[in-house]
Amino acid sequence: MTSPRASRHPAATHPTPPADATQQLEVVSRPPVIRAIAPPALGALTVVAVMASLVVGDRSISPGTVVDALLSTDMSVIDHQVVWGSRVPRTVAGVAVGAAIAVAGALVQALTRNPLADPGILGVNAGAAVAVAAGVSLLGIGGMQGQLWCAVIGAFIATVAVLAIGAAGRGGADPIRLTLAGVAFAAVMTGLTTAITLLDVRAFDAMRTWSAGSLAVRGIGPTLQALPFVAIGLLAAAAAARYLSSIALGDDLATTLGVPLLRARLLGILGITTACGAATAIAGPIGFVGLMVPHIIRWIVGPHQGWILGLSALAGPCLILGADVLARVATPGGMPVGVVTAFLGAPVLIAMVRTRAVSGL
Amino acid sequence: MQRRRFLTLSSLSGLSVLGLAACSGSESASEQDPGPGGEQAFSFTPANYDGVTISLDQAPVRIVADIYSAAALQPYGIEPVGVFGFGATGSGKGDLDLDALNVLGLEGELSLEKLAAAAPDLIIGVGNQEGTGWTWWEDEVRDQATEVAPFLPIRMGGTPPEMIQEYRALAQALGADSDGSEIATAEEDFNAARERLRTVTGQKPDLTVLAFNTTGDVIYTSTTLGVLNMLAEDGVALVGPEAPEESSWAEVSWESIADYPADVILQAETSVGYEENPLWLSLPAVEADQIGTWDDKRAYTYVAQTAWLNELAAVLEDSERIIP
Repeated sequence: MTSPRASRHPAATHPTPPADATQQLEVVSRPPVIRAIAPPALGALTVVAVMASLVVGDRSISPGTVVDALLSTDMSVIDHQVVWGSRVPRTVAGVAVGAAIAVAGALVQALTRNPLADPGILGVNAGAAVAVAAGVSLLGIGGMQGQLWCAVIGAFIATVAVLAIGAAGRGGADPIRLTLAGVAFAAVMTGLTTAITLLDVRAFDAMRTWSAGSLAVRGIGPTLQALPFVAIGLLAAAAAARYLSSIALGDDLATTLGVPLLRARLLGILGITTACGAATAIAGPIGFVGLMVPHIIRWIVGPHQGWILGLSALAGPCLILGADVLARVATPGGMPVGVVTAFLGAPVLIAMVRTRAVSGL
Repeated sequence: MQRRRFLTLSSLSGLSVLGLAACSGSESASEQDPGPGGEQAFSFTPANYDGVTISLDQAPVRIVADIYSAAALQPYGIEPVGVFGFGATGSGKGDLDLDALNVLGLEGELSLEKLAAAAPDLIIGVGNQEGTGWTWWEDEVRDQATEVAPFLPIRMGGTPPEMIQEYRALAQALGADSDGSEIATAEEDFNAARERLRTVTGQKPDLTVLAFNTTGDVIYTSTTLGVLNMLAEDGVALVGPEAPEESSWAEVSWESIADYPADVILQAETSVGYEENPLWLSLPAVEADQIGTWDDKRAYTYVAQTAWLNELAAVLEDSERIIP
C-alpha cells in the first residue's frame, strides 16, 4: 500500500517557488484547449495576411492573377513583373522582419524580466542606426548591401557594449542594470546619429528613408542576404527557450533549478542581436512590434516561454503585414510600416502600463 | 526638427555679431581689387518679376550667390566672395570648385555670421514668389540676410537658353564681359548641339522619352520643367503622367510606372536606390539599354548644357523604337 504522504513527499524536496510566482502561474495559465487552437488559428491568420500583402497594392491585380503569377510565371506580363518585383519581396521582408522582431521582443522581455522591454531597450536599433549613418558618412558605404552589414555589425557592437557596461561592477549583468545600460547607450548613439546626419547631407538623405521603417525594399536581394541572420536568431531563441521560464522566476531560483544562467543569457543575446539587427537592416527600426506581440501571445497562452516564442514567430508577421496592408489601403501613396506600428503600438503600450494584469511575466 | 533648430540657432548668433563682422568685412574689402563695376550705378530688372528692380548707387563688387547662380555667372569671370545653397553634389555647380570658395552654408542652411563676414554688396540667388529673398529661406533668415545686403532674385522655370540669357544679362549689368569670343564660341556649340538633337528627333519622331527621377521609394516624372520644354521644342516626344496643377512633378509608384511605356528613359543624375529594383530592370528601355541622363538643376552655362545635349543626342541616335 502506498501512503498518500509518500507521493506528496518528493515534491517537498524541490525548492518551492515564491508564493507570488505560483499565484501568477495559476492566474494567467490558459486551459490546454486554447493552446491547441492557438497555433492553427495563428497559422491561418498568417496565411491570410500573406495573401493580403500579395494582393493589395497601388496596381489593382486580382487574386487569381496573383496565383497565376506565382504558379505559372510569365515575366512578359506586367502584373506578373509587379508581383515578383514588388509584392513578393515586400511580403518576404514582412514575414522575416515580423518574426525576427517579435521573437527578439519575447526574448528581451524574458531575459530582462521587464514586461515593458523592447529590442530597442538593449540599444540594438540605435547601434544599427549609428553604424549605418557612420558607414554612409565616413566610409562612403551606399546601397542596401552596405547598409545591411553596417546595421548588423552595429547591432552586435551595441549589444556587446551594453553588456560590458551593464556587467561592470559588483553583481554582474542583472536585468535592471542591463536595461539602464541599454537606455543610456541608445541615448548616446541616437545623439551621435543626429550629429552625423546634421553634418553630412548624404547621411541625412540615406537615413531619412531608412529611419522611418519601411518594407518598400528594392528587390528581394537584401532580404535574402539578411535571412541567414534571422535564421540564426530564431535558432538561438529556440535553444534559449527552455531556460526562459525558469529565468522569469529570478536568477537565484533559476540557478537553484539548474539553469546555466550565463549560457542562457548568451543564447538570448545572440538571438536578440542577430534577429533584430537583421530585421532593422531590412526595414529600418520598426517599433512596438517586439513589445506588443509577446504580450498578446502571453495573454492567450499564459506564461510559458516556449509557447510565447513559437507563437510570436507567427504573430509578428501577421502584425507587420497587417499594418503594411492597412497603410496601403488607408493612404494613397502608402506609408512606412514603422509609422503604422507606432500608431497602433503607442495606445497598446499606454493600455498595458495602465492595466498591469496583462503584462505579468 | 533638429535641422530647423540648428538653422534658427545659427541665425540668432549671426544677428548678434552682425555689427562686428561687418566692420572686419569692409576692412578686407578695401584691400581687394575693385574688379569690374566700380563707380557706376547699378540697376537690374530680373525677368518675370513684375516691377522688381534692384538699383544700387555703385556697381556691386563683392557678390554672394547661391551655388546655382554662382555656377551660371562663372563663365563671365564673376567670382563670388561667398556661396551657399543646394547643388554642392550635383551638376548644378557646373565648373565651380567649392573647395576653393568661401562656403557660407549648404542645402537649406546659411551661416549669417559667415554671410556678414563676407560683407557682400549684393546677394544673388533663386528668387521666391515675390522676389524678396531666396526661395528656400524661412522668413526670419530672409529678413536677417537681406539686412546684410540687398537680394537680387532670379526666377527659375525658363528653358536653359532663357536662363543662360538671364544670367548673361546680369553679368553684363555687373560690368563683366558677356560677349567675349569664348562665350560666343560656347553659344555656337550649344546651338549646334540643339541642331544635332533636332536632326535625330526629325529622323525618329516616334521615339518616346520618359524623364525619370526617383528617391528609391517613389518615382517623380515631369514633362513641363524648363529643360524638358527645351527638349520638346527640339522635337523630343516626352511621355509620362500629367503633373498636378501646382507642381511640375508627377508622382508614380514602382507598381504603376509600367503604365507609361517609353522607348528611352532619362534617369535623373540625382536618382538613388533604383539600380537593383527588379521593376526598374524589367522596364523595356532598361532592358534595351536605351538610357540617358538629365538634371533639371544643371548649371545654366553653355558649356555644361552643351555637353549634356550631345550625350543625349548620342543616346537617341543609338536608340530604336521598342514600344509596340
